[in-house]
Amino acid sequence: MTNRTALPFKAVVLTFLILSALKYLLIPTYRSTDFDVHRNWLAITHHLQIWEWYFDDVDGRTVHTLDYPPLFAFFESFLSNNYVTGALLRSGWLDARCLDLLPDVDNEPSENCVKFHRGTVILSDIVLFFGAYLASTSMGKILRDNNRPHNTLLTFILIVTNPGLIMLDHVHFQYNGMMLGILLCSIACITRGSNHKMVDEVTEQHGEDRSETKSCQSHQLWELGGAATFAALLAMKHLYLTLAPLYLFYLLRHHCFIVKKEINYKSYTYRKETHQSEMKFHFSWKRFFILAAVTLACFLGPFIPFLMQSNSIEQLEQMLQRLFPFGRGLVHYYWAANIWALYLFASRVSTFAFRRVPIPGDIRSIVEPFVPFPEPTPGVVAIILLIGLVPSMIYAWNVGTSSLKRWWQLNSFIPAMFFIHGVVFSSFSAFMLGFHVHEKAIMTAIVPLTLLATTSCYSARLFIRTSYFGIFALLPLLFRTEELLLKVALYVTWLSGAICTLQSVLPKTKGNEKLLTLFDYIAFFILACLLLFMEVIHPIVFLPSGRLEFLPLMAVSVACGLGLVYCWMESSVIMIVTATKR
Amino acid sequence: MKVAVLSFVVLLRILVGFQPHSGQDDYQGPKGSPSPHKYGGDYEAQRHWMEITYHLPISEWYWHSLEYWGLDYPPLTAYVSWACGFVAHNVGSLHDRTILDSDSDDDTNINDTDTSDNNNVCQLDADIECIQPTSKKEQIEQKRGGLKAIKNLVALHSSRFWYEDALGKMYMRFTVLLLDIFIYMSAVLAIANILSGEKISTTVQEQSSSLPNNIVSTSDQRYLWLLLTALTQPALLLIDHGHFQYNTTSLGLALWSFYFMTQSSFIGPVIGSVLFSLALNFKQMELYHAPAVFAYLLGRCFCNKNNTEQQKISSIAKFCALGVSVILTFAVLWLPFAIYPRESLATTKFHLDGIMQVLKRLFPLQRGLFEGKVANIWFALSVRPLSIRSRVAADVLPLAALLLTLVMILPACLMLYRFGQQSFKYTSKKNLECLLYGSASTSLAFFLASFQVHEKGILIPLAPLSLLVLDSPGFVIWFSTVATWSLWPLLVIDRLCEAYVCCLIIFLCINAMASVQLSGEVNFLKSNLVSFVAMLSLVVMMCLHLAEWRVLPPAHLPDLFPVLWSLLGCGLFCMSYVVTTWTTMTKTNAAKLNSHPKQGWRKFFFLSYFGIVATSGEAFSSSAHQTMHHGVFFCSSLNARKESDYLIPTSDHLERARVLLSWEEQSKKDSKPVLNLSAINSDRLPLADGFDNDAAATTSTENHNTTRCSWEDGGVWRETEQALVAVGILVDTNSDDKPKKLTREVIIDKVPQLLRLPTDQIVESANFFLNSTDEKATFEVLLQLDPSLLTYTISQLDYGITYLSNMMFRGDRTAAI
Repeated sequence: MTNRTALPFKAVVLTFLILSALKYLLIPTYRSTDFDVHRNWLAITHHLQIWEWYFDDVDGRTVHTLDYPPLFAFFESFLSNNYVTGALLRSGWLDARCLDLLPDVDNEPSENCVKFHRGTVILSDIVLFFGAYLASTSMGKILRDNNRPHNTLLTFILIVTNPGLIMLDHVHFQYNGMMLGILLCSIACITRGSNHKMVDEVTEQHGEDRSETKSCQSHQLWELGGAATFAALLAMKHLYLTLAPLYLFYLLRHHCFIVKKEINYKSYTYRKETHQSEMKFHFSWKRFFILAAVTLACFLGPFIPFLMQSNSIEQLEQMLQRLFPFGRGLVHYYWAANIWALYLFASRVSTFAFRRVPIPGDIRSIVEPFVPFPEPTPGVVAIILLIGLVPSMIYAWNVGTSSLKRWWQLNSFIPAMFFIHGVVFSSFSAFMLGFHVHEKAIMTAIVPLTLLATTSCYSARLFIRTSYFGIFALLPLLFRTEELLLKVALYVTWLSGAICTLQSVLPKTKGNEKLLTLFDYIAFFILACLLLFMEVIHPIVFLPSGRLEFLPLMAVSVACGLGLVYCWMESSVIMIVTATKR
Repeated sequence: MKVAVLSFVVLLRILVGFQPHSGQDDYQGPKGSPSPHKYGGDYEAQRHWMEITYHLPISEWYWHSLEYWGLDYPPLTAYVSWACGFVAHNVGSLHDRTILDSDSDDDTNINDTDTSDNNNVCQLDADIECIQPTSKKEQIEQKRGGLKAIKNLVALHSSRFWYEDALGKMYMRFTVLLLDIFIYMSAVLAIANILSGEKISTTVQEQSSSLPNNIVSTSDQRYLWLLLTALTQPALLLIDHGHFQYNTTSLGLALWSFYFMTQSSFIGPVIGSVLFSLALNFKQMELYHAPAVFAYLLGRCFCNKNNTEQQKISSIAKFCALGVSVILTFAVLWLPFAIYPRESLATTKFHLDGIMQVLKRLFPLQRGLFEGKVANIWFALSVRPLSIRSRVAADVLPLAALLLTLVMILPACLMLYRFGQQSFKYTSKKNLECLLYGSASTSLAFFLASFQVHEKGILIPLAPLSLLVLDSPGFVIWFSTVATWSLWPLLVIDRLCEAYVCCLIIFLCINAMASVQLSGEVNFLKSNLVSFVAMLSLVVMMCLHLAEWRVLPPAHLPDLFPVLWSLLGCGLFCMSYVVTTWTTMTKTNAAKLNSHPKQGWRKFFFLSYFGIVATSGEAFSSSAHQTMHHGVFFCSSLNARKESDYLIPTSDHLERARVLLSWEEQSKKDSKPVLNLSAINSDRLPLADGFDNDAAATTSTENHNTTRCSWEDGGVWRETEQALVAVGILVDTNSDDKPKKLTREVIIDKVPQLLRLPTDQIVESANFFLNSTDEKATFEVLLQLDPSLLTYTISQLDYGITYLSNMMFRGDRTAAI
């Protein structure tokens, strides 16, 4: 049993080497404007004083302004001002122009500049490897303790080889791997924290407030660490704000409450009932304050240098304005495959139908103001999003309660599993309902979901479905013809590998259940047709005449949107089942 | 899982494809300068061929402006180029009509005429400075899908010089990838199915199923590992998808032919020979494999199950079938060049001028002994202290190369012939393994010794060897690394250094991963000594890399590093040649099949290692030394006899000299206690036969190592020779009038152990012969027939003669005479 969950360090190192080599080979491929954005941030943090960071836009000649929270700005500052970069600059390998503030019209980077910048992404992926290692081993440990199946090595490999991350970070250019690594670290900490054996026989017999034993303190520390890491992550990228409610409710219930038993039960047979009836929850202010202090310190720490400036209010306003640009519209240019894409699609279809289909006059006059559908304002979207997050909050609270009552010991109930499903569900909701969501937000759901992929056939299937829809929706990001084969090969390699390995690893259940169902095969067929249309037929047939330019993008968004809505529902079901399973 | 592995290797190929190709932007390496008459490199050549084959009639293909990358590959390449050009042109024209339809402004029309004018001008000028100005229309087209770029890629003449286009490059890469997938990968798949079959013992299965984290089921592991190793070969990836060539196509055809040839029914070899002639017609370098294939097929034709008349007839029929299929394939491919003559020469209907031209283009004998700084024997011999090219006349060299090559391919061919005769006894897996080893051996021989070799020639032995990773993993991985390493100077010119590092890392890490997964089953480099040699060579390779990176070569030796590269590479490839040849022998030798072939392999590896590290500890200088021996011996046997008055033993002789004589072995065995109590403390059983033999071999080689100085340079033999001449057994070299008597070369060739044995002993036994018997003449004849008698000690001879009846002994021999 110990062997199954062991993750040999050699395998980690070898995977890192192979993947880094692959990523290095990706350097000459397409890079999006995000490259220029990040390069400009390097320049800003390299040349300017701290109070100018959020104000600079090279005299209005660039749109690549700093619009990430402060900790990320400090990360960029670290990249542009460390010893190695200095040495490279001095030796002349890296040209000074690479770190200069350049206007948009003239910002073509040199070859070495690209290598340097891409190299930082490759190196920052160490965080992802670390997070994946930590999360998969701690998950493996918990599940092993509860005699549940889990394949740590496969989990680890599936996380770090995720083609979505490779495409986003190493082709398109971003630092998602690092962020998700931090998120995984945080999840790993919470996981370890949930695994406490709070009360053993001795303390039970003596009853009372003996729960502050040593093991208990360590679990507290783990949870504090998880909260702090998450706060730091928030200070790096505000996308993860949507996970905050889940963390809040889970930690409030699970961390800040302690159980007091008032009566010693007499006989073992009535243990369970006495437990439940006599248990009382006490809110521990001490724990709450410690948690709040740690979290706020981590979250607000990076803001302090900005607030220390003379114009602190102005700084904050400017920062918020940069972080939440509500003027950008409901959906991203590419139409991330979410509810809003479906909504807009329905709106287009109804407009089209309204124009063409003969409708009686009186109905027409009633319907008229709603066609095309009204576009929701940011406020409305925020409220809808909040509603979407409510289930995760409720169940987080419930799980906290039940795990405190230690039902899990009796029923092999694992709060960590729920927590991960909660993370998945919350990210799903955020992706589906958020305002101006980018396609890459789906990675926040896929990566944590990987942790549970090897536990049961059901979650494996959910994982595979989410992956193939979500990552397919990322493919149009690499729109050049040169990358066509690359992205298809990446997608197919990973997907087929994941399916085969999951199939062979999954616990043998009765009836020899297959991982893929008819639904999946139909979906594969549709996606393949879409790909063919998008990449081959459309450019040849429609593009020269300039007709229907956005048809493929819309088709991909709608198809993947439908699929992902289905996965979202499944994930909510699986979350509720994990939370309430006896 | 197979899908995942295949698409992974495809992904790897695509990734390498993003790197620059040879001669991109006319970059000719850090030192090279662009030539004014040519542009780019192999990529440009292939592109140019597409252009000329598509646009010109077939009679012009091998004649058209030869100075600008004239076509010099066999006809099948030309046809494939034509197909690629055809597709490119037609796909590129897809948009022509729609565009003309949609914007029928005056503007575009004017531009259209403009470009056509340009084309005309270009054709008039024939070449040079034919850069098309990018018109506004083209810009519009580039916005709209840019398929036009593919058409421009193969536009006649106008695409020469500075035509670089991302989409065009993608198209070219895509053609390689497609051919690679459909020909090479499918061949590897088919062969892997055979090679990885069966052979999983139950214990192994138990072991590996208890291993941690079995992602892949056990039965698949070996198969997948084989696929991964064969398909992530860094050298192949870098040359075909980075540098840009179509090697995988010809190699894939060759592998397919191997696959068919080893099938048990005879229709297989026929298909195989057709496929192999296709491979030959794709790239003439496939000739490297040809001797092995020929020998094996010949063996299969003349298999001697039972010597009946019918058998003979069927043999001849088989031979004819093969011959006819080969000839027909060739005829079909070459006929168009004879049927369609050039217009200027169109006097007769059918003539061989076209074919002669193709042949002339294929085998350019005037180009010189080798190209660039290739790691073969001839290059090693032309380094400063030897500089064979200045000493030997230029017209002798091709002959010498031919002879040496023939000598070197001979053992493998013989073995394959004999094996082919008995091929029906074995499974097709066995057959395939032998054929692969044999072809690797012959192609290495070609690479090392033949005329006009290119660095990329190493891919040809690499392809069959890479499929044998399950048989001898350590050697195959080592060889792949060395082969890739030897291509480094070429890759520097192509700006593929980073891709080189990445591909090597990926390849080695994947194999290390496999070793993690398969740890119960496969032991990499069992013996310490062999792994020591391999590690040493790897360390030296790394050191050379570091040195090249950090150290500037001295001013009077600007090419120091490339030369060192080639010398070390040559030494290592010689070792590989020895290993592959030896393995072919052990594999094909039926008697040894059931004993441990790997042990013999290992033993031989020791021996060859000590032969190579003859005088100095440092690997590359010693390998140069070894090749020097080779060369000197060869020269002396050819025409430079006067140069070496004394015979310098060749490494071949040295090796053979080390083989223990039967009586020596006997005495060794006798001297060894039956139950080796002293070995109890060591961790192996004292009676385990294999190990003890091994130990004996090791100790003997160690013994030889200590006494090496006294005899390996020929000192001992010199004395012995003088003594023998004085006695009258041996003929003096200067007086070459008596053909009947023994000469030096003959005796050494027959009994190399004489090199080793002490002079006194030999002279004593010689005197014994001369003095103890009355019939001196008989004994002289006897000695001529069997000089090995000299190796026995007196007491043994005495014993032998007294034991056997004197009359019988002599009568036997004289009867034989």
